Amino acid sequence: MRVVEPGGSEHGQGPFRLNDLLRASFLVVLCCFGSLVDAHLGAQTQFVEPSAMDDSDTRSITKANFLFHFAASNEWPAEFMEGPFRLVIIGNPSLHAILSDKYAMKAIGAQSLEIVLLDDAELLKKEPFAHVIYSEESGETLQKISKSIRDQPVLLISDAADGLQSGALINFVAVNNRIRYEINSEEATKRELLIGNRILSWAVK
Amino acid sequence: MSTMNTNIRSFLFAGLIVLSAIGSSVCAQGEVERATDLGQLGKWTEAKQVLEPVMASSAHQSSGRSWFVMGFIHKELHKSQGEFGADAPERLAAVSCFQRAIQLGLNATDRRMAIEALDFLARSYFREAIAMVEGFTWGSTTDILSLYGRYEALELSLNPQKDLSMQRSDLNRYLGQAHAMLLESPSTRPAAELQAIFQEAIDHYRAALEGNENDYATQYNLAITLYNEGVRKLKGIGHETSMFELMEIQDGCITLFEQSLAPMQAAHAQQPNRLETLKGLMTLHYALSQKDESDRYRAQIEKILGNR
Repeated sequence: MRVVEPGGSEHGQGPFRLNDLLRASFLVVLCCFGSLVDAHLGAQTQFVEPSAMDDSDTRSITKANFLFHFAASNEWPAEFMEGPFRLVIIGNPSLHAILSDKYAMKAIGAQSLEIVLLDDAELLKKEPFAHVIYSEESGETLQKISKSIRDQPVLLISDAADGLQSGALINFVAVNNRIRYEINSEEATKRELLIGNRILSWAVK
Repeated sequence: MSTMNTNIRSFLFAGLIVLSAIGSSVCAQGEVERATDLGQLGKWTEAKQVLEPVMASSAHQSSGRSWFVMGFIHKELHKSQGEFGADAPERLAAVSCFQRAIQLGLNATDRRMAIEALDFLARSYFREAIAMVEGFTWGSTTDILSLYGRYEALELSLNPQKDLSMQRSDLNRYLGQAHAMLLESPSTRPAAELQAIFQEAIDHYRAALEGNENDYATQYNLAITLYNEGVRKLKGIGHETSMFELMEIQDGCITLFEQSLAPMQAAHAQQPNRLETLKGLMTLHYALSQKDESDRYRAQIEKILGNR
């Protein structure tokens, strides 16, 4: 930007010409300068505009990290440690997208990780065995899911106030604004699932 | 007789001194005029060559007009050479010459012009500082603050009562956002550098609020920068992150989200129906696992959108 200024040579100002005519043009230049500075500052809109908020689903990011740890740090009976390791998400496409993006190419032990999204819990019936099922359902629907996998070594994970009571083995809870989890270890043992020590040690219950 | 001789000698000696002073003054005036003529022709380098070597003489040292003309020469050279930076020598010299000229005394016209020239030079520091923020690069903050410092000192020398807190606040807000933009742009910067950039952004926003605590944009941008940093850390978690690290990172993120809440609420208090702050509060409460609060803001957004 070319700056026009008071006393600048561009307009014959300075100590060199001091007649009235130039004095008048001096004032014009002053006004122009003010406008230019305003225009310049006005052009700083990029700094006046508010910043963009990151739209990522933070709770799903956190849950995805936990789910991967739950899959990787627990032990299933030997006969279920072959073939793909299946992790089913019911009704949370955002969580599924994050998990797929971050962990789809990873392995659980020697098993390749398969991440599946189901729109509805009813669709579970048509699905092959899943090592981990995550659902945000509660109450009767969660109980139904739990019954449908009864006696199977399936790690059912929920995010509901009545999660553990409704049959989930791990339930996400909010503690001091953080996402934590509680575990029903007794039920896990019944299902021959060995919950890892690290997972147990961080559980709130 | 000898007394008379002594008086004559003294008179002649005094006359010699007066003549020498007049001669020196006339000579000095001539040099100033020659420099002025060269300036009129745009020959600033030649004008400087005429005046600068003789500025050390007592006639020029005590002449406000000489310093005034010298000030213009330096100013024009500063412009023609495209100098930049807080320590640009021609600009510094111009400032110093004009200040000295005013101190020594000038006629009313010259004095007004010297003040206007100083004001121009002050603004040139400010413009340069802003231009550096526009093309901001990591590490240039010191230079920007030096330029702004020169602007502030010069403005205050012209008008000691001038309140520059808004300008300082604006500059800090621009710097805060410039740093925040570095964080948002894709880069391969090491983690320590990213952390330092983030801290600078936050510090500048907070400094901006000290001068203008009710500035909506600063409050909102501070909240967003804190929140986005939390999200950035959360996204950094990978399959190799241990359970302990995961918990620790989550704690750090939640602390940032919690810190973000106060400025977001302050921005919202100023413009309660602004969608971006409502969305900000909805998102923040969601991130803090406060579903009811998040839903309350979601309902407000839906209500506003429904009324459009």
